[in-house]
Amino acid sequence: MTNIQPVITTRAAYNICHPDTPLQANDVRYVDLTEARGGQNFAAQLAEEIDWSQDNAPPYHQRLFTGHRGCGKTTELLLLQKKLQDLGFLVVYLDVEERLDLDDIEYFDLLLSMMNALFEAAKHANLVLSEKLLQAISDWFSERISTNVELKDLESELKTEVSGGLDIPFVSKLLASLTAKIKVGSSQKTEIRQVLKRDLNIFIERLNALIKEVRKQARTHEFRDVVIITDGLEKMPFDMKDGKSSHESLFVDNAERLKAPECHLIYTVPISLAYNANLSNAFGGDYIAVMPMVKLSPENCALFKTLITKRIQIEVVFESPDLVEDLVRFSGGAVRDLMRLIRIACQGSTRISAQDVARAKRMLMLEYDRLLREEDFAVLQQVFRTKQVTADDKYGRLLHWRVLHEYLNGKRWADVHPLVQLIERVQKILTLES
Amino acid sequence: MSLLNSELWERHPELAQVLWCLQNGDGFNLYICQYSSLAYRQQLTAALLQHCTAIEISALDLPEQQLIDEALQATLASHPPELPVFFYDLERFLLSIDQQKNLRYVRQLNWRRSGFQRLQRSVVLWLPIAALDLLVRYAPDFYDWCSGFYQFSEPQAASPSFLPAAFENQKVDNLSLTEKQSWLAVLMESLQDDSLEDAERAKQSADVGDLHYMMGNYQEAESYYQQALGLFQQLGYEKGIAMTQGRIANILQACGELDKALRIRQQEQMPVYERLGDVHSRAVTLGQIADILQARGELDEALRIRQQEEMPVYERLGDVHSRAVTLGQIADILYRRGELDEALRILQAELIPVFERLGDARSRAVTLGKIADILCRRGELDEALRIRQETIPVFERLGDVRERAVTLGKIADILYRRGELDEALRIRQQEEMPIYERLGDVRERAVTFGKIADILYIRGELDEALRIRQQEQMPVYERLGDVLSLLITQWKIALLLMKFTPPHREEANQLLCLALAAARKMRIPQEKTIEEWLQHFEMNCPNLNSHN
Repeated sequence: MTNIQPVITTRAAYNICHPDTPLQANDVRYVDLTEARGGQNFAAQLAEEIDWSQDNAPPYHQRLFTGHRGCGKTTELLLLQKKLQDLGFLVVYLDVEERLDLDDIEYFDLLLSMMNALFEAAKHANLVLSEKLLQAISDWFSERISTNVELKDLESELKTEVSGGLDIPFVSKLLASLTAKIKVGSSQKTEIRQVLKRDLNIFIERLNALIKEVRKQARTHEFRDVVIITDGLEKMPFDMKDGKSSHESLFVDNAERLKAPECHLIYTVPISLAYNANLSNAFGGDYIAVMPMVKLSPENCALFKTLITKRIQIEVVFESPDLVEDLVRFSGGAVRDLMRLIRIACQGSTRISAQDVARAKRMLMLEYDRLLREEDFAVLQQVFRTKQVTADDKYGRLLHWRVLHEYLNGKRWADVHPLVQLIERVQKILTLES
Repeated sequence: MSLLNSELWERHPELAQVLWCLQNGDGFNLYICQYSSLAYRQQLTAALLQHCTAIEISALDLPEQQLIDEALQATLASHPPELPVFFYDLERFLLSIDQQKNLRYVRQLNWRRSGFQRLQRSVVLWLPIAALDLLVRYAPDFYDWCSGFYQFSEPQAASPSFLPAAFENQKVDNLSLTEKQSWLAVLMESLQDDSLEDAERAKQSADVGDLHYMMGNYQEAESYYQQALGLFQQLGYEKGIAMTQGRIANILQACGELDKALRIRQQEQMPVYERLGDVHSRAVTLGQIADILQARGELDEALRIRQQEEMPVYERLGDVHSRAVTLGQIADILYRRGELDEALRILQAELIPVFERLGDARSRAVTLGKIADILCRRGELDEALRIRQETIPVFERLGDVRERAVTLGKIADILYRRGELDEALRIRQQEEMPIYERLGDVRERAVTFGKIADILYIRGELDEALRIRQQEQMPVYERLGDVLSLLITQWKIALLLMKFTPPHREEANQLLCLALAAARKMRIPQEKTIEEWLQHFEMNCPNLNSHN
């Protein structure tokens, strides 16, 4: 277990509160915010659901997972990975950002890199896969590549790239090269997709054959089953094309294809899709797990404060404990913002004073102010008044940016980030509203 | 302007915060510093570098298909680990003429942000405001990773008197983008010279503003105009103040902020010229007021100003050229009111002879173009085309590439009306567009894209037309803050969406409502047209009060 003592200097506080480093599963700084998030412990819940459905699989447990940017999704997924590993699952963790071009991503790229990740996970777990299956998959790819004029150049490139070395099967190297080509910058990207998608059903069949084989071999190595976690898809850019957002195009139009892999599967998705009716049709009623913000009731404020006390000796680093409460309040229940506020307050200071806290508040307000567009004001007014968000792209973007916060206590509700409410031009319209 | 080192630290407490972060932050941290001029950035970084060591990267070598973070990683490979990096000139990739490429780079920053984390050191991005705006809009997640955001505004300078030469906007009109950029570099370098007199500094700042304005960098332009304005105010040079305010009003006007622009013209510029007894500048400003009214559709008042207030001044002053230009503008108003015969008479009988007498070939050719517009509206397309084609060699001879591009566009318009879509498209893509690209004129480039989309719309290539509207036009107008063009584009997208099978009704409705709201705010005639379209589609805007 990672054991870290609370720090006593602003320098150390600055570094220990870095919001871009997700906590590992056994980090002592982890605070269980289950109750504060409305009673949902996502890692435990998803692990349990997979565990329970295991005896009946198929159907496999396939769910989407989302939350506000920086709300701790990756921390939660790493915890889920650990829990699943403890429960005896072989977890294939696919970080999409690392492997693919998120600026131009198709469901097909995902499935291809999933296949590649499976090979890597199998190798890592020392699983010996059927040579015949590997041969068949390899032949299928080689055939597609060698018989298509569009990919002639690629064929010779791949031959060079994947030749030599017998430790990894040819097909794994081949897939790694193909995935790399699909990643940013390859002029062959479109051709590869076109050619391989012509026989999509066969490709999916091959993918499932591989999944089946990995599951089979995993069981002989005392794993209970295989779970694929696909992280990072929520980072794909939001665009509109043909009256449809890029998020919808990938997840809604291709939901059936994304569900095709026959194993337990978790996808992170942008929060804009949290309440998409079409997605609900495809993935089933309870298709998505949404991590809400922490509503700052007095109890939750105290819980939130433990996020700090686990990292920092408050009485040494802060001039007054009240300042910590101010920071918690300004965060609006967003862990990331709390960490950012602390870090800004640390800057240039040996002990955090009221002026430092005021400066941190100002700087964060300025950052949010820059994000706001003219058309957002009507949305802010609406949410401020009704405390509700609907399944609409304009809400999705503001939720994603944490301008709007969604909470869960008894029922789902939403509000404008407390610091955004203090921005002068927002304050004006909200005052008008009230 | 240059500040003493101690003044710099005093003026910007943020500098101490940045320094603290660089000295205390472990591993990866991202800091964004917004600066207003290159010279000032250099002062700021020099001040920091006196107290800490950092690697400075100013012209990142980025091959066509390499990722920014990977290129940074490669460049940093030979440097000691942990040392912070000052990364300059990222705007080179974000503010180029190629909007698509800019968008690709800025979005790449967003989804490749973990790549920066792997640098395992503090990265300080020094950005001008225009690049920062783009970053915020299109890379919000990257922006969210920022551990500190610092604004460094340059102070205004003070010094004695001078008489500036008139700003000569037209002289930068026809410079190519490369030429504009090189000239910009020259001026920026000159502004770094501490011994530069404030009067000259004011003029050069305004010149820098003009260059930015011509390249569509309105925010940068305004920032330099503001610097010039501050200097003129300290110098007490009233005419300089009024002229610079006029340039700021030009930006506001271009961005659709007609009320604000009008206020400046009426309340800031006019009183100065009246006080100074500068009747010519007053008349020019009156003409600019008429331009705004014309844009709002208040044609009668615009015509009154031109005929009763502007014209008599030029006549009194014996300024034949300005009088002729105003006559041309009067003809424009008549044209818009549908009084084509009278407009044509003015152009043919009054204007052309004047320009011929003056030997002003350019103005004559421009007037011939206006005549062609009238013929076109009367349906005499062949004659209109002939005239337009006749003026092309004139502009070529004069080296007026911009007017040549405008004329090519008008020829394409006529061909479009004649149904010769392929040739119209070819002209737009192969002749007109490259000129605007070379000139670095992002606005006209976007407008031309719109015309291409019009052709594709007619040809039924709806997907591509929509892509162009959404990806080539909208981001440009958004960046320029050009509300009018934005609302027109929204409206055109709405029409496109209704053309799909099935129509994308809800989205189209939303767009029309957005466009209507903007048009109402601007009080422009397009409001009525949009309302008619809403009625046509049987749509309504629940959040907007009906004006019907």
